[in-house]
Amino acid sequence: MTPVLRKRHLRIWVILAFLLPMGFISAFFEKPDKIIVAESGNDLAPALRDILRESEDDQLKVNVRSESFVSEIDSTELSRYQLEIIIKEPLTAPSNQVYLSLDETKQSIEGKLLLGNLGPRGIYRFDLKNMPEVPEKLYLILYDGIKNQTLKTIVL
Amino acid sequence: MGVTYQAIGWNRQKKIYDRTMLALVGLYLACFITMNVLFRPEITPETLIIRAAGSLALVILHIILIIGPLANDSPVLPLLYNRRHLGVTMFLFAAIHGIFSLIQFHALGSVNPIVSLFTSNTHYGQLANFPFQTLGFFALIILFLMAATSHDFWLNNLSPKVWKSLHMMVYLAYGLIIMHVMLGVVQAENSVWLPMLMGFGMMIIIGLHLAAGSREMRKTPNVSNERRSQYVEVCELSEFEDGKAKMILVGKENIAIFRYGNKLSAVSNICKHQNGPLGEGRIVNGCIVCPWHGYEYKPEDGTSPPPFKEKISTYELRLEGNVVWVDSNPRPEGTYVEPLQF
Repeated sequence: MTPVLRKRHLRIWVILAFLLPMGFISAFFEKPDKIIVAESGNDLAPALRDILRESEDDQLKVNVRSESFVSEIDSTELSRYQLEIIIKEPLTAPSNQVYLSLDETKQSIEGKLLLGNLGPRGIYRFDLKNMPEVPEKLYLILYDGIKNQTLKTIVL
Repeated sequence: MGVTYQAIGWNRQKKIYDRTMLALVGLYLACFITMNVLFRPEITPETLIIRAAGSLALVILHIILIIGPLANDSPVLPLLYNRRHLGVTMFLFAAIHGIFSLIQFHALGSVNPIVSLFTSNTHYGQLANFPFQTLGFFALIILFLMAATSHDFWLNNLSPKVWKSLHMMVYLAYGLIIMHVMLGVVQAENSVWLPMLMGFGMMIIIGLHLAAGSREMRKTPNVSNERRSQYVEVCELSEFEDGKAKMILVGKENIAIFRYGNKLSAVSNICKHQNGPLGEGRIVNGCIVCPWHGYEYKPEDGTSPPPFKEKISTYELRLEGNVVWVDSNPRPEGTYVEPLQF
């Protein structure tokens, strides 16, 4: 190696020895404290018996399903709910997260309930846990988590 | 170094090198895919390909960057000879990673995938949610330039100086890749193993390069320009080891003085191939062997043994008492200079 190249090598590595650890540490401390890994709704749970509400367009069919059951604690009759999404035409966004909202704010997903991800064409079912009853209007938001944009809002 | 042109001068060592490399690549991919199928069955085949290819390229890049500083007169040296094979392999896996990522994340929309890559996330002013894919894109462009010009054809056409400068861009690519990983996959993983491994690899590479750089700077004493065009003192005769060289820098003249038996000869310290440091090589079967790629030169006249045609400069030597002196004026390349007998 020529002396010039040798010196250049050493200078480059002296600079990198400062810059790389700085970048590395900064990026490490930007890491979110808690990373939520969204479930895929494709682990198909059996469909609940009744269709409570439904909505359909060229690409998706969405059902809110329900089924009554008797509580083992006090023998009262309760209901459980399920969101069923049928993808008829392939989704073209790189990421398709499903959020549930009780209000119509479309711009932000902050405070919305993340149900999971949609992938290839098929049927997806998400358990609406902790929902004792379905409110008058439900807003289903399809969100592209990579491009950070709302793809579609479906009112149920 | 061939008299007749051959696209690749295959020899036994190159074949062993490539077969070993391919076997290890296959073993890595088999282990990676098996582990993911067993422990992360939800991963789609496309994601698996992206992760396997990306992680393999990263591992190979670390090996490439470690070989250089470790190769100096050590058992790692043979790995340096065909390092460009590793480089091209690394580029191919990085390209698989990049192309599959571009298809998976940007090709299904209505915008051109490259446009989508740069415009889908515009948080360029902040580290959180930084568009890390763009860093990988620029690193891939650098790796492509290096892989495309890795053949000796380009070395000869671009000149060793330009070629070497171009290939030093691997350090920039390495920095971009570190940040691509740290701002990308590390942000989305709960495990601390990945950042720990990345940090460990980075510290090893930086440490080795700094150590090798400062060691090599010390090894070659620099005599100022004022003493050029005259004999300059090298060292005492007893300091020479048989078959090895002492190096000295006089102004811009980079000189290697070899001892072989009871003779000393001085030649240029710069190999004609890739500017390799001849003085860090040895004399084998009467020829100086470049430690980088095995190019050979006769110490007394600086010519390569027939049928090869490379030539380097030679220098006159003088012995005063027990001290060796070298004339810093180079003789024309390939000029015979009577070895200094003692």
